[in-house]
Amino acid sequence: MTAHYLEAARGRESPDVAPSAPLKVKAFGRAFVRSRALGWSAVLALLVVWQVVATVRTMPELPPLDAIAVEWLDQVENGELLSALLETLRITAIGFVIATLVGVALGFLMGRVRVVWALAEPVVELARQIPVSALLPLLILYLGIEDRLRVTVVVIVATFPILLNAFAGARSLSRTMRLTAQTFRLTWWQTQVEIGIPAALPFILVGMRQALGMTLVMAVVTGMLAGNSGVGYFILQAQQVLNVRALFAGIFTIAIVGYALNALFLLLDRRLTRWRTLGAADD
Amino acid sequence: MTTVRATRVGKRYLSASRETVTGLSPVDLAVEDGAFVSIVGRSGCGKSTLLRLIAGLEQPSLGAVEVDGVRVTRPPDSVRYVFQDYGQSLLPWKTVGDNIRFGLRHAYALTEREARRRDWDALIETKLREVGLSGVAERYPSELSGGMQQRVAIARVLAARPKILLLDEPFSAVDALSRAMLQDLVLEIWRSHGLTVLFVTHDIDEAIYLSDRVIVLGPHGRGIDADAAVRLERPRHQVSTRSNREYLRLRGEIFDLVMGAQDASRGVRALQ
Repeated sequence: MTAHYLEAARGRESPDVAPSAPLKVKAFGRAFVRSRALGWSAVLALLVVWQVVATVRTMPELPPLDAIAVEWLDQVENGELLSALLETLRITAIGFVIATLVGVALGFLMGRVRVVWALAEPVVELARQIPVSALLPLLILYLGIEDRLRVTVVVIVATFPILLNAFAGARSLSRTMRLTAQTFRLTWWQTQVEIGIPAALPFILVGMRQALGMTLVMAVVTGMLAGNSGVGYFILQAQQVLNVRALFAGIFTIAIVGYALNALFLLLDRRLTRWRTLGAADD
Repeated sequence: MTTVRATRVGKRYLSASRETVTGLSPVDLAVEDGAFVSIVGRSGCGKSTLLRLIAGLEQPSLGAVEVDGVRVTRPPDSVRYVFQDYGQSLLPWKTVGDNIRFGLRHAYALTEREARRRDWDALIETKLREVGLSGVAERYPSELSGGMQQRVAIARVLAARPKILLLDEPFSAVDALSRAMLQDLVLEIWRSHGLTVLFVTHDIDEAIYLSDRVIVLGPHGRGIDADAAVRLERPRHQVSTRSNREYLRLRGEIFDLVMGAQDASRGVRALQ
């Protein structure tokens, strides 16, 4: 029996047996502590404490939230924060797309074609161990400090989680599924496109989601290290002129944008893998 | 006319510890066009291996398989295979309708784009009705029960227009009541489509109930221990057929044979 069947059964009963008021309160409480509303309330509480503390005791290092909000609006209006954000998002998007293409193609082929695995596995496992920060001096030497460097750094970091998950997804193809493709006389190419990739898709999406968070972080960080652009550079500038409000405005912007990107991705994920969340019925 | 012929066909594997394991000792088998033949035996006897060899899903280490006079080197066009593990055989990301469309498409060797232009909705509904389902084309396999999923798998295979149907323990994962209904469904499909069926099972009752002929494979890939004709009238009936005297006699003898109560040569004599 599955959740939606239980739901339906409960729905049918409700007109006859209306729950009493205290029961309703109890049920609401239970639902509340089990939902994300609990966490959002905690965030809200934290912000309230912040606002009260910052208002009561004026400290330059902890500006009140309303001041940060005003600063944020200013920076959006004068275009600085917005253009910085767009710049960071541009690097994020380019890096993410390239990392997805490279990671899926290489990881999937490593999982499905033995020769590709044999050839690429040592290189991938060696390269994966190198912190990107250790590569940075070399990369700057080779690529300069502009877009090419920033995109490359993002790609290096974001490719591995996608690649490893695509590999695992490709390996997850069951023997029965492989034989099914054979008995319907699919060509090698058809087997990969029609069965291999869809079967690996849930894994690939997990990898992409991990990578998405990392791409945004790396896009911000590279903006601070090189290239003098993006939200990272915006924050650096705020630090140099000791504008703590702008510092917080930048940080909050990254948090909110990161959260929104993740939420958007989850929406896409759920749409693409809807078949996985459906349960079985009984005869 | 013989449609499937296996000549001295056998299979050896290399195990993980690099030892040669006999999956199936050389076997001779000829299946007449339109026959319903079951293959029974204990786990590890090589019955699924034999079926996969006939299907062209595995290549034999010895001998050869011919389907309609053509040596099998890859899955033949006229042969379709129904797997025990329907959950892995149906494509879980495709709806029931699209799974059957998949079968249709490969029957006509069309690409996905060519297939999309064809209006197959009515045909898909017909295929589903043939296996006793309706109104499930928009559902995903995971929304259906095991028995219903195996029905969809059968409908998909029928959509691919087979002449020979191979079923590998197709009902061992469904509950007993669904199994009885599925048995009768397979008999009905066999009759109405004029198919040749090879049916692998470890359920001796099921084998006798369905078949014209039951082949018993010996343990550890030893090969064919017995080949028994089932002379029970058709159509068969879940209650009366299973209480028929001839049915019970065969059941007893095959059971003894499979459980190893008699040696192979005596078994063959006893059944003939």
